[in-house]
Amino acid sequence: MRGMRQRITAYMTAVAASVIVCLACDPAAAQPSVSASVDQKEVGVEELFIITVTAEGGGRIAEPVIPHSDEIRFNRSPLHQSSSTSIQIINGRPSRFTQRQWTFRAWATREGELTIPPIAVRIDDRNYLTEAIRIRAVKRASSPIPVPEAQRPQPRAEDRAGQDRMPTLDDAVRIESTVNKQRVYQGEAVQLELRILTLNMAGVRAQYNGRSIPPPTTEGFYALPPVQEERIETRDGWEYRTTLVRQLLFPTGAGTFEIGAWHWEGYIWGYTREGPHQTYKALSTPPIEITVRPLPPRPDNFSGAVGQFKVTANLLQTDVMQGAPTQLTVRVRGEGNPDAIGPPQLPPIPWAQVSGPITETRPFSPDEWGLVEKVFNYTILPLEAGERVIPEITFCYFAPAIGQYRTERVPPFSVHVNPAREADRLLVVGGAQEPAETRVTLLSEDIYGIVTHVSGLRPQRSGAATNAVAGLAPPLAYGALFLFTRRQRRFATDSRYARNRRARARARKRLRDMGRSETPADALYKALTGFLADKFDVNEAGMTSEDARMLLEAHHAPADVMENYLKVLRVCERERYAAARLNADELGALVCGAETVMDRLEEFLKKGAKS
Amino acid sequence: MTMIALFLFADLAAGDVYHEIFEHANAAYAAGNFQAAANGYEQLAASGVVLPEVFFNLANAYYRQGRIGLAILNYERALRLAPGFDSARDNLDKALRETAHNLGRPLPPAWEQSLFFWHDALSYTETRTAAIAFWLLFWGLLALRQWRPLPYVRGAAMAAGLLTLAFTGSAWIKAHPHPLAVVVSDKAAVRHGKSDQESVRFELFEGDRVLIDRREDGWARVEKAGGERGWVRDSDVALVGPPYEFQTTRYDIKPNMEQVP
Repeated sequence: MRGMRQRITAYMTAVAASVIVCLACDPAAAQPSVSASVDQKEVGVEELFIITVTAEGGGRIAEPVIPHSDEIRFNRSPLHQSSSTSIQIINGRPSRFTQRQWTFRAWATREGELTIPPIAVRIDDRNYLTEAIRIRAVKRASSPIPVPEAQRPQPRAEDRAGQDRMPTLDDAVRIESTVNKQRVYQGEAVQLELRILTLNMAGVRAQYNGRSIPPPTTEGFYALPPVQEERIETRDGWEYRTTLVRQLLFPTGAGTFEIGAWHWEGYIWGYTREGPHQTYKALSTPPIEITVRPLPPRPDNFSGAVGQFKVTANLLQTDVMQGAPTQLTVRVRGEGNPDAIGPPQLPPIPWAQVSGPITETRPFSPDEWGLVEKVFNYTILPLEAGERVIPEITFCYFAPAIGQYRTERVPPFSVHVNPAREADRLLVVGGAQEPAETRVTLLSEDIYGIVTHVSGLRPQRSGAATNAVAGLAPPLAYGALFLFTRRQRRFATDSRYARNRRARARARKRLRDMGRSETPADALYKALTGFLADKFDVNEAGMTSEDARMLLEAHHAPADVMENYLKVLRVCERERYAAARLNADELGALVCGAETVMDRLEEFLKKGAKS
Repeated sequence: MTMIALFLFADLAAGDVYHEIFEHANAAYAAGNFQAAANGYEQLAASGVVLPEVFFNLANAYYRQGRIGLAILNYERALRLAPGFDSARDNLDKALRETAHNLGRPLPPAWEQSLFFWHDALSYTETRTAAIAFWLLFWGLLALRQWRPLPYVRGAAMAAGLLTLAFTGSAWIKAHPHPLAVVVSDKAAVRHGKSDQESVRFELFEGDRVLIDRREDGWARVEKAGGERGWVRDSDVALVGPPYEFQTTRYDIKPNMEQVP
């Protein structure tokens, strides 16, 4: 917290110091100047060009005043504007220098030598004028998108041939779909390139009308995942920002296949002389037909690969221990479908146990587009000692370039297998003492036998019901407990609520206990006044029928309830001072009346609370 | 009451039927009649008695007949139900060594390997039980906190909640396993498309384990360890399941209700 405060203080100090330096600067130290320039001296009639106005000075620089001219028309809203301020301290005296720049779109209304009149800019309450600019206007057709000179692409001379117009919104977006070949063999790679080109000019923007651009249909081809890259390319002398999507396709059968048309539609934004402009455009590429020739009859050892491949192999160790595994790695590298490359033919090796291969495909690298490497790893477990040979490994593939199958060969490997100490000794018949050969025997363990005793042999029941009960019961029980504890807490903390909720029960208890009282009418009186006191959270002691009347009136009790309530109370009051006591029937009637009137009052209060 | 008694008797009678089939199958296995044993175990499994021991015995019966693919399929089933079934794991390893490729099992997605690296040794029943236990504990601790705020109860409830989530996720994954399949024919050509005219991309051999992501028109699209994909005839592969598919005729076992008093 303290660190934060210190940082804020430091920042505020720096800002205040900057403001003070700015205020203290001498604006007169920098000489004001204004200038204007155009992006081209020769323009087409009605063709947009750019005028750039620059003003420099030490003080306040106002907006330029665009003059009126019949020959040159201006769009008075600047296309761009920028501002920069620098402060210099020379001999301890700070001075401020400000530069502002505006670019305006303008166009010539007629042919010939034309003059752009001086443009006025007010700096420090004084007007400064730019110099008049002479331009030449010629007649040529266009509906151009103007951009400042600095941002305009500079086409090469050969690209510019026959291209002397400005790009329009129609040129802003292009799409292209190309393949490197249209006549291939089954399984041979076809490189599909899809391009979206957007004119590389300030203010030109294109947005596809959808989430993602669907690729063209490639039915009949096995497609590898596409690879995307961004680059700058030139078309018709203009620079385009290009999104290039490359994909390798492999025809899965023979015949004629089609890569479908590719579609793009969306909005294009660009500046025209009337200001920003938007258009909606739908573009399509023509479908591409691919003729696929079938493969010639396949040899038995054909690996399935079609393309151009090289095969290399290496053994992890050439001096190995009997019974200790080593690894033989065979690499197939080249151009073709990596998923179609089957393992090379490894001839039987009688002196070893071979397992595998475990295959691994190296992903495409952007630098080696189309190249793939597939690695086959075999585990060789030498069973016999001595000088051994891994025979020649062959890999047969179809080479489309020559239209034939080719077989790549890896020469045999010599392996020295050292005998293991624990190896079985095979003795030469005749009792020679030297072991002629040793061999590691692979243990042939039997499998574990069947299980003969199983409990619970019956169809398994779905646990859905248990899951539902186990899932729902705890939150429901928790909900009930939550409500209960909340109510208990309210009873403990909110006496008004507690008295209100318990009023009826207390009154009933008092009525039940009335029989044991020596003065039942008094007990009934207390039950009724106690009920009222609890309901309205007032003091019960000393409450008279008049107090009860006022209380009921204050709470707008219905007249009949109030009347009956007071009637019972008054009878009880009279009984207190009368000589004769109430008999049992009269007392019963009074209790009955008291219960009824308490019920009515409670009902009324509940209704009142709800409403 | 009578209905409950009848239901219990019917259930017991059905249990006897399943025990009888199991005993018969065991006897056939012991006598070397592995096909009859396999039929018996398969009959049990097809009628819903999906116990790891039944699949284990079924796998052994197939192994003894030299049908490695079906043996591996049923060892996998047994291990899915009871990952700690060591005998099944050892027998599976042995069977895999006898396959042409000893091809690795396709791995689950990377996110699952990272998040649930701990649950391979647990069965669905165990993870579900743990999930329910932590769920009850979570609500119990919340209730305790509601009743009487005690120190550390909130933290313990959060920990129980997180463990519930972890075990529920694990149980869900185990209840919806990846569609692992085993090649049950000697050799299966994996093609580029769903037709015998399509070129062969690679070959699978009996006992190779693959994932199936689509099944259409009698063809299944398989993916082997390493990610290579292609289409193979549906009849060449069998899903580990659940649901379980069996090679022999489906059996419909019902207890003999007429014998129930």
